[in-house]
Formats: sequence, structure tokens, C-alpha cells
Amino acid sequence: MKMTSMQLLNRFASTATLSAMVAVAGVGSAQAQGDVDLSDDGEKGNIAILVNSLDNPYYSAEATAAEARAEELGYAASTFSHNEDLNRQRDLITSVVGQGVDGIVLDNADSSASVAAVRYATERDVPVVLINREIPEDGIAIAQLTHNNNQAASQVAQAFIEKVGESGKYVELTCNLADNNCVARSNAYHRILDQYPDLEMVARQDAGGELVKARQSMQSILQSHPDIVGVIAGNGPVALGAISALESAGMDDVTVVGIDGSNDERDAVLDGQLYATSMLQAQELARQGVNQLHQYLETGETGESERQLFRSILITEDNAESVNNFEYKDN
Amino acid sequence: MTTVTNNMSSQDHPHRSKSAQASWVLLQVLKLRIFVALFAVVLYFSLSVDNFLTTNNLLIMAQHITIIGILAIGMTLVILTAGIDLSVGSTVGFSGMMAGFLIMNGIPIGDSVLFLNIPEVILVTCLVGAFIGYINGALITYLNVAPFIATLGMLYVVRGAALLFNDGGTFSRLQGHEELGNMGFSILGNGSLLGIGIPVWLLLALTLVTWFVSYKTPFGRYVYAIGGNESAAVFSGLRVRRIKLWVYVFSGFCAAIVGLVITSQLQTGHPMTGDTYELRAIAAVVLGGTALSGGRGSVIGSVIGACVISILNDGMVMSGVSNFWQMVIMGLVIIIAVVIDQLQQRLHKRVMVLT
Repeated sequence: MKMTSMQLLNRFASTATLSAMVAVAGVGSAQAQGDVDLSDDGEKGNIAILVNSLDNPYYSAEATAAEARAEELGYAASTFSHNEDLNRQRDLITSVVGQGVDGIVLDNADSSASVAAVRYATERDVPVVLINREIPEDGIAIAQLTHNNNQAASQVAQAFIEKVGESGKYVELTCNLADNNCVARSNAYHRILDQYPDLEMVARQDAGGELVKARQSMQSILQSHPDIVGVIAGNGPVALGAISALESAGMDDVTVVGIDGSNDERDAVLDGQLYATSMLQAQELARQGVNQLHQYLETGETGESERQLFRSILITEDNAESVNNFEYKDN
Repeated sequence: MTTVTNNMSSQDHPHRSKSAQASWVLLQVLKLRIFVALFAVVLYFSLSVDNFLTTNNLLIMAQHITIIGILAIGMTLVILTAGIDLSVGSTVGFSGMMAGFLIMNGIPIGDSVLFLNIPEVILVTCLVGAFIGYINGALITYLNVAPFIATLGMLYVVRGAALLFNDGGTFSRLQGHEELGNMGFSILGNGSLLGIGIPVWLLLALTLVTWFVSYKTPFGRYVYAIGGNESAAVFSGLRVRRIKLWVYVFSGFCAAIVGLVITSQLQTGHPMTGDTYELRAIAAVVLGGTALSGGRGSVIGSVIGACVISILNDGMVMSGVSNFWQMVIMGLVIIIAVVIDQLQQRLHKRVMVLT
């Protein structure tokens, strides 16, 4: 059901954005021919930043950091969101390429299905740096920077075991199994947890990455399994939804862990409701992406290998204060 | 030839009336199909899932029903007038953000900030929801925009507005502050009266009131009349525009209540809350036997439809069915419901002809 309405929404929205962009492009070129030349809005050139949706704190932190870094380096940066719609992603890439953008920083809509869109840009000599999500082919994007889901989930799973011990019943709420990142996290959780035979997963449910769905699923699961010791959640909203269900059932001794590291999760960690989470370094990843695009535009190479993994930071009560908008600052 | 046919028909009559009787019985069963479906769903899960029929689980499932149930009540009246309200999901998200904003930030007036107490926050949010419904209704009645288009437009406008509230961010930790006198918002979603959650009481109250209004008051009968034949209603001197306007206002009001309940339960206002809920509400209404063409259906049916959807959902979660299969099964149930509805219509015509 979610897909239908989102696609419907995106179809409408992409038409709207495109017409807006055509209008903007028209204004832009008129200015370029007139008294304002292009070097004014970006002495080094123009960079387009394409992310998923700006209503999610992760993507908005990512986009803001990339934009700030690009402007620091002397580029004009513009941010667009494709809302996980491949068609809209392609529309956006073709129009920014058509406008003569110098480089693209892309958090793509779906890994394997985005290959063609990335190739479209590189074939027209517009370099693309991928952030957050990879594509399965090498040599098309100049760099692919992703979070180390494996490391993040392993770390969280270790913390989970240290808290609950090596036996007991637990529940897994995955974020959205149609997303590779989510699958990778779940696999990594199980690589650690499945080593303990007395630690038994009594229920597993996909909560679609949503608060309400996570809360309702958790409430139903608790009816069959009131004796659980812990919940492992695939992302932040799911962990927070589970906490809300446990709270209304008066079960505050259940250990909940998640991955993401948003400010809402930080607050839950500080309140003692969320035991641990792993903060994805969204801002740092985005800045590195822009740096490498800059390096490539200046020298023709990034100086790094194409695929790079970024480690996440385990957040517990001790260090939660240092988290702000997916940025970790030691005080 | 004619005599033969006449003879046959007169000889046939006892047999025919028997078949008419059978059709009539089948028709009655089909009319009650939503209750049959509810019974079947509950029976199946109580046999296959442990702890399904415990008091605790029933109370929790009742809480889950309220979300779609309350939306379906508002949606039923809209659909009875042959309209549709696609904006309710967005209104849920918007009113949640509205409540979060009022509690966390207050209303800035000049240099000072006005913080409302919780009953006032609830009242203001309900009024805002009703106002969104009013815009829908005004677009449809006074500017003659088709309901599908008007509310589709509002779906985007209202969702965008919800996202604009806090630049896409949430309002979390809505406990309120003692010194501001706005504590206690969580009672609305998490509190209970006589052991039953307050949202469930809200659902029951809204169901009863709306059922009474739709069956026993002129307004309710006018709603059916408009859906049955709008031109006839106009020529009969009904104030069609005003009635339709109120129906959309009520739908917006119901959506605001749902937004408040969810926000209170989660203690977080999230701008994307309620995404696609309009489709679930419509599914509940259709499942409950209300015709999308208007004029036929009932509020009780819609609430039972919401029960079926919600219990099916919870039961599948409890028995560990994957989320993807849940979507497939839910879709099939809706399609089957409409197919049966069409069968019922044909049977209805046949019974009318035969008797």
C-alpha cells in the first residue's frame, strides 16, 4: 500500500519539480548570458546533490553537510530529493546533466536499478560520487562511500549480549527488508547472536522502518511472548516504536538496541529507554564524498579506492551527549 | 407459445418461490458477510495463535482498531455522499505535528509565547482538522472540484505543511512541562477507563453518535439521499452543498482525533505519520459493505471492516507471517470483499424481480 501512494506522489511531484527546474534553468542561463557569469554562483563550478527524502533527519543531515562542504570548496551546490523513486532519480540526473553541472553527489534510490542512471551521467563526462548506498558495478562511479553496516550491527549486537547475557528470548524488528542496508544489518546481527545457542529469537517482523507499525507489531508480539529480554531493531524509528510499546506494557526492563543515531534516539539513550545504538556518520560521509569529487575535478582522480566503508560509532549512555544531527563531537 | 409459457410459469411457481427463498436467505447471509468475515478471522487466529483470545490481547487489538476505525467512520459519511476523502492520512500527520508544536513551542504572540493546556491543545487541533475538512468541502461544493481531485490536492498540501512545521523533523518527548501546565498529553492515547483504553472509548462514542445521526436524524437520511441520487436530492429542496460540506468537516475532525491519539501514544509528532492511511480507511469502508458509488452502506459495517483489517494484521504479526505476505493477503481480502459485494447486488436484483 505504501508503494502505491508514494509512487503516485512521486509521479506528481517529479512532474512539478521538473517544470520548476526548467523554469530555474531558463532563469539561470538568462543570467549567464547577461551581467552575471557562472563563476559568480560557484567559482569552481556547480555540484548537484541528490538524496532520498528531506523529511528524514538522516538524509537532511547528509544533504546539509554536503552542501556546506561544497560551498566551502567554492562550488555552487543545489540539493534535490528523489524520494526513492527510480524514475524521478533519472529525471533529476538527466536534467542536472543537461544544465551542465560539473559533478553529482548521489544517495541513490535503489542499488542495482540505479546503475543506468549513474552511467548516463558518467557517459556525458559528469563524475558521480555515491554516498550511503552502493551500486553492484565497479568503474562507473568515481567513488562509492558507504556505512559499514556489518561493523555497526556487530558492535550493537556485542553490546546487546553484554547487557542481556548469553541466554534468553529476544525479538527482531527489521527496518525494511526491501532495502539492502537493512538486510545487511540483520545479517550482521545474526552472525553474532546466532553463535549463542541459548539466545533464542522468538519472533521476527518487518516494521517497514515506521514508528507506528513498529509499535503495533511489538504490542502484538508481546502478547505471544511476554517473557522476552531484548529487542534488536533495524533502524531508529523502529527501535523507538518498540520502546513506546514496551513502555505502555510497563516492561521497562527489556533491552532495546537499534542503529541510526538520530537526535531522537540520542534522547532515548539519555533517558535510559534505548540501551545502545550505532551512529552513522552521515555528515562526515557526505563531506568526504564532496572532497573526493573536488579532488577528481581538480586532478582527474580521487586518490582513493572506489569503494570505501565508513565505521559507525557505538552510542550508549556514556557518550550520547556527543551526538548531534549524525555528527559526533567529543567535548 | 404464450399459453405454454404461462402454464409453465404457473406450474413452476412453487419451485420458483423456493428458489427465491433460497436467494433471499443467501442474500441475507451476504449482507451479514462482514460479521461472518470477522468471526472467521477471530476463529482462525484463536485456534492457530497462542494467547490470541486473552483479555490483554483483545484490549491491545481494540487499541489498534481505533486508528483505522475512527478514520473509517468519517470516511463512511463522505463515501455515502458518493465522495471520497484522500487527505485524511495527511491530516493525521498534520494534526500530530500541530499538537507537538503547541506543546513544545507554544504559540508566539509578539514577544511572549502562549502555551495551551492539554484540553485546549486537543480542542485547537480538532478544530484545525475540521478546518482542513472545511477546505476540502468548500473546494468540492462551492468551486465544483471533483472530490477525488480536491482531496488528492489537499493530500499533498497538508502533508507538505506537516513537513514544514519542523523542517521535516519530529517533535519528540511530549511529556510537557509542569511550570507550563501542559503535562499529561499521554493520557489520551495511553490512559484507560474501566480497564479499556481511552482511544477505544472514543471509537465507541464516535460509532454510536455517527450511527444515530446517520439513521435517526434528517441530516443522516439526507446524506444517504444525496449519495443515492444527487439531482433528486437537489430537486427535493435539500441543502446539498451544506450537507456535503459538513461531511468533509467531520472527516477532517475524525482524522485530527486519530492524529492526536497516535501522537499521544508515541509521545512523538512525526510528519510522515498516517502515510497511506486514507487507503486503509477506504478499504475498511469498502470491506464493510459501503458502495463507493454512494447511497448504500453503514457506519457499523465500516467499523467492523476496520476490525477485520486490524485483527487480520495483528494475527498475522503474531503468527509470524512476513510483512510482504501480509500486504498480499490484505489486498486479496479487499478484492474478494468487492467481488462478493457485486454478487450481492446481482442477487439483490434477482430477489427483487422474483418476489
